[in-house]
Amino acid sequence: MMPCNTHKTCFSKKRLGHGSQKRAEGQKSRVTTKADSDPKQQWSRTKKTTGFSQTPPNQQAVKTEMETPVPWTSSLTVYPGQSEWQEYQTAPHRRFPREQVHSVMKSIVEARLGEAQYTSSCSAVARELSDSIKEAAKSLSYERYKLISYVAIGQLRDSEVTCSSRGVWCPAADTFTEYTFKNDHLFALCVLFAVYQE
Amino acid sequence: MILTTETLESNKRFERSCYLNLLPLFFIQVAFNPDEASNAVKECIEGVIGGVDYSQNKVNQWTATIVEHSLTQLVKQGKPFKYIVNCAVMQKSGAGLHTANSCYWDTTTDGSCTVRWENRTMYCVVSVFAVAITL
Repeated sequence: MMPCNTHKTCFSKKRLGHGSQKRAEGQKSRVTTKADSDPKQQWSRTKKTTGFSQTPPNQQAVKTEMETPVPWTSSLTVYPGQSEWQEYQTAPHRRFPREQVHSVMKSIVEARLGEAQYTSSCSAVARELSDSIKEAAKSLSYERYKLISYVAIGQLRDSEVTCSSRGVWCPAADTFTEYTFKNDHLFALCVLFAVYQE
Repeated sequence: MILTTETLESNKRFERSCYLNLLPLFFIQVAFNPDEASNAVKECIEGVIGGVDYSQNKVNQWTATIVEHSLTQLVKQGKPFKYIVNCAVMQKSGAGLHTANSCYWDTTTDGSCTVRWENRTMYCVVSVFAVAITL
């Protein structure tokens, strides 16, 4: 994150990280009703002045206007789930799809491992698998999600393995998916954590 | 009159300097420190399975406890991160285990660390992933 130079923009928390890039791409426009040269609007306005307060039928609002930066001293209403600036999106528009990713993970692992044996080269296989799962999840293009894929491949012998994980995160936005694969010689545990960047 | 205006001016200057000095605090994004995290995790592991042998009945409880204690210690550090802690405990019997992880994140602020620990009867591998929260 780059520190701001002017105190005005610093306190409005606008030019931070991704937000600054998005601002450069194109300012978000807000939809407002504007009583300009629209005859229907004028009609309602004239009606209002005469004391008649019915809105005309088929009134289509909408003239968009570009937002100007709001000084930090002015009041601002931010509704949950919406924000004037992208930085304040504390909840994702689309939640990460667990079932879809589960089926993707299943197909990748079964294609890669299938009837494979446990050998010393399984370390490279584990790395390849974790990379390919991560790339597949990335290709789904869920914006603002950071991905962590974890793969453990172990030999099937007379030993037990117990694996548990826990996280401190935002349960509304963050999630995980897991898949366990087993054949005659080895087992593979694949977990994908998706953490939302607020 | 002159004195009062002077003191007012100096107060203003004092306030202004405080105000400006506080500004950087809002924008310093600390990077993850893996050494601090791995020390905290090692202590947790030692505390839970330090001098004991592998026991099938207790292993579920051990992994849960290790993970919980590690998380508590990490959160106590008070840094602006979301944490994911993963713990695998395996009995020592000659079988092999390979783990790998791949991450898509901001490498300047996020990080991970892995702690491998073993005793006479078991292995324990704990991975900590820290994802920064932008303030």
